[in-house]
Amino acid sequence: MLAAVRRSLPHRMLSTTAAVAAAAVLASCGSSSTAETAGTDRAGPRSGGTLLIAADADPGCLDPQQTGQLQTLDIVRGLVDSLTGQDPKTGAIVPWLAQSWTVSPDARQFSFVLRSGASFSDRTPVDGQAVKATFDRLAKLPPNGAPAYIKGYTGTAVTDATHVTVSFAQPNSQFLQATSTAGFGILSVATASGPLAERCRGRFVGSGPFVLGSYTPNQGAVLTRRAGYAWPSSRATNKSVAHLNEVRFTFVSEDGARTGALRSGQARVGENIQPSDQSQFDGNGFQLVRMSAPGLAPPLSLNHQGILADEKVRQALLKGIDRAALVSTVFNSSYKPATGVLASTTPGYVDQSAKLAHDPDGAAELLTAAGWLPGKDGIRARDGRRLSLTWLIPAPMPPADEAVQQQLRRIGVDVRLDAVPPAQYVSRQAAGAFDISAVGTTRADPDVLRNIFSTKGSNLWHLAPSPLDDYLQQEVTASDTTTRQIAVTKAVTWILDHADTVPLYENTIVHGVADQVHGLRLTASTQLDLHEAWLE
Amino acid sequence: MSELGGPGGGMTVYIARRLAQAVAVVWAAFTVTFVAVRLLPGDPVDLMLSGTNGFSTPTPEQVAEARARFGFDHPLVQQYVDALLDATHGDFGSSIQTGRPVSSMIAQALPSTLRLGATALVLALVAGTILGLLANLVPVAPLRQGLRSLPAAGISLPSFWVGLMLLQLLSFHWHLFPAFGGGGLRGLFLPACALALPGAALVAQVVGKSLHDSLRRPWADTMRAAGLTPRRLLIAHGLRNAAIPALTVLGLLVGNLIGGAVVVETVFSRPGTGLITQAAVGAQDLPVVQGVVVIAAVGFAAINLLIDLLYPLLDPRLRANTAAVAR
Repeated sequence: MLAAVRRSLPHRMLSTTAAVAAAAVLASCGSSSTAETAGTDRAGPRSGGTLLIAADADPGCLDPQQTGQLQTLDIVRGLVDSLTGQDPKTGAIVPWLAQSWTVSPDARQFSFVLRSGASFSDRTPVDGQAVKATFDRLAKLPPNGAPAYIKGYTGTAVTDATHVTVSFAQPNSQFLQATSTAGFGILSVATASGPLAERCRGRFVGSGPFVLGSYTPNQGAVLTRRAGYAWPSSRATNKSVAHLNEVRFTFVSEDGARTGALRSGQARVGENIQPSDQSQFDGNGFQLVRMSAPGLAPPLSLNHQGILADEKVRQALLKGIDRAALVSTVFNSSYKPATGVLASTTPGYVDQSAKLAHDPDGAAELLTAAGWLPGKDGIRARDGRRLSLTWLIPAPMPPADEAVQQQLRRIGVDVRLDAVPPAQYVSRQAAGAFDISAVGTTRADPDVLRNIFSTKGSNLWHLAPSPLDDYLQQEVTASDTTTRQIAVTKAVTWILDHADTVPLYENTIVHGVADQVHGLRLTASTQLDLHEAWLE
Repeated sequence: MSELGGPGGGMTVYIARRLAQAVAVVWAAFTVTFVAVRLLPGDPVDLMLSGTNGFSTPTPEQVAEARARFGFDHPLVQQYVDALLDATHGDFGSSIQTGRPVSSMIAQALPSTLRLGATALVLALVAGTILGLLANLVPVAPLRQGLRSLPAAGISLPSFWVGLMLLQLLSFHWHLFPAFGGGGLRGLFLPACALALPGAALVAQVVGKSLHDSLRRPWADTMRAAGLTPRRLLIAHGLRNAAIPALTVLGLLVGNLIGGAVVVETVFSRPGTGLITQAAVGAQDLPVVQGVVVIAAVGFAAINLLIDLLYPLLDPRLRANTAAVAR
């Protein structure tokens, strides 16, 4: 796997009370600027207790195969095990239910050797048949979430209980990372054929350290510890049953209520604390568990039709954004300006900060060269037509959007913010009725590039076929890390050289955690790792 | 609502007409919703298949299968007739987003909302009436004036703000009530207060004004001449007179509560129909929107039917008129 590169910024560490404790956290975080672990293990983990988590939304469906929503994955990560795990620091794929694997030279066949002794919570064994049943079903589902990563699946051959080979019609190097995600969690054979609506309500069986106690739509979900669990991923420090007896997720969608619940002790973990509320949990008996989300850094996604078909105008947008100002105005020091097409925590990340400098004069020159001249109201115009771009936004509108609008106004570009209901957003984006949308994706694999920029996929932003397609093809065909990195570097270089997108900032997952909670980490895909957590 | 009776046969006809009107209201709500949600640009099936980012591309077969599953491949007229017939049996189909039957979603959420709404309604009536009385009884004139302007302030406070303030003070600061959890009386108090506030203000305004007017009527002079204290006059006679406009307001109040529940349930994380509505409207989840609108319309129509039937009981003059017109 490709190495994740992290920026080494001065530590803005969790302000724990004891200096000793702080030192221990520092040691466990290495040179990382983001804290991924809450608490410190002074006396060693204690068993028992109920962890109360205020989650920010009811995902509506708990089936990891049917939805890619982060709220679902946070709950499900404790219920299902995957074939592999991923190290959040290096991006390396490590053994979990599979103890080893090989990838064919054409990246079309993936052979796994399963560990023995793992079982589902219904006592059936985790074996080759279960892997086959899981992937067979996954491949048939609409590509909303995990199924998108198993495209071209031709089947799983089960040699015996512990040997399986998964095959694809075309090279698919991203599949190995996909097997580490919760969406590719292995489900029991009986689950695979279960009705989808039932599975949404939580009727699925995994082999994870917790089982689902209950799920009440719009209210919450309860996970209970599974006795006898002993097959975590190889990077786990806890090799046996979970420390916590029970985990209670309550859905609290109102940001202020979630913050208050955490502060008043009605919850021990508050998910997705808003930038304006984060400082009150940085110390004072709390810590912030934060992680820059890997994947495509949230950008302006440019529709290469209409005004933005002109590369000069796209270049001007790239230069017209002051990323540092954007982050300091709308966010806080937990967030970072984008330094490349990919977020810095993504395996295969390339530092492209030189191409992302704020250069308003350069932007003005480019617009003038493209024939867009300053108009009376400060907005540029050409042949009597104003330089006005429609930004399609799924409501509710994030605060960053208005800040971007103001920045682009300064270079004479009028951005019309068009916030519409999500269903309308999807249809209008599919119809191409927009100039700008903003699609960032969270995934700890550089293949996110192909989803967005390949003209062979849905190509929602109407890119013209170019050598970029070849680079992306090389990326997904490469069966070794070095070849893959070369392809990724070529791709992200091309993308910024042609201003195919305008990266803005790095999205940061920020959870508030009470000091009583220890060992709570985030996985490489930003999910809560409840198996390691314990309560004082 | 105050239209009385009709040609035909007495109270039975009056009730039958009111009942027919109630059914017409529910049918109209169903039809308007059916048309309105389909006129909106946007496709809920696309959203379900593609996710909120909208960049996953389902195969044409997957799209066709999903459309067929929800009956969207039929002509609109047939969809309408099917949906209407099913709805009369309480079947609104399944949610596009989650696949759950809408009727069971509503059945699960409704008790919570009913508890909340009923508590808020009682709170609004009690608090509003007391405030209305005080605004006429308090002997100090400036204080009386202050009490009279309170309702206007109450109506203009947005309930999400009131809810957040209640949470901040009574739950997060003083730890008197839980911020969420739904169950139990303690969990019900804060959201019911937030939901009741605009209603209480409305009732206070109507009752206060009505009492104020009562005291200037000729009969009040007669009573006073007979030696009745202002307090007895208000409580024994004024309140009964104020009951009629208060009852009219009650019908409006129920409508406000249904709308207010969307906001209050979100702020207090209560698993009720308001939360379902909010999520369904955003995702254009047609069957769910259709279901909650019909249930809300049924509740609204039922309450107003009940109110219409109560008028003649409360006011003997209306009773006589109804009978006279009917004869």
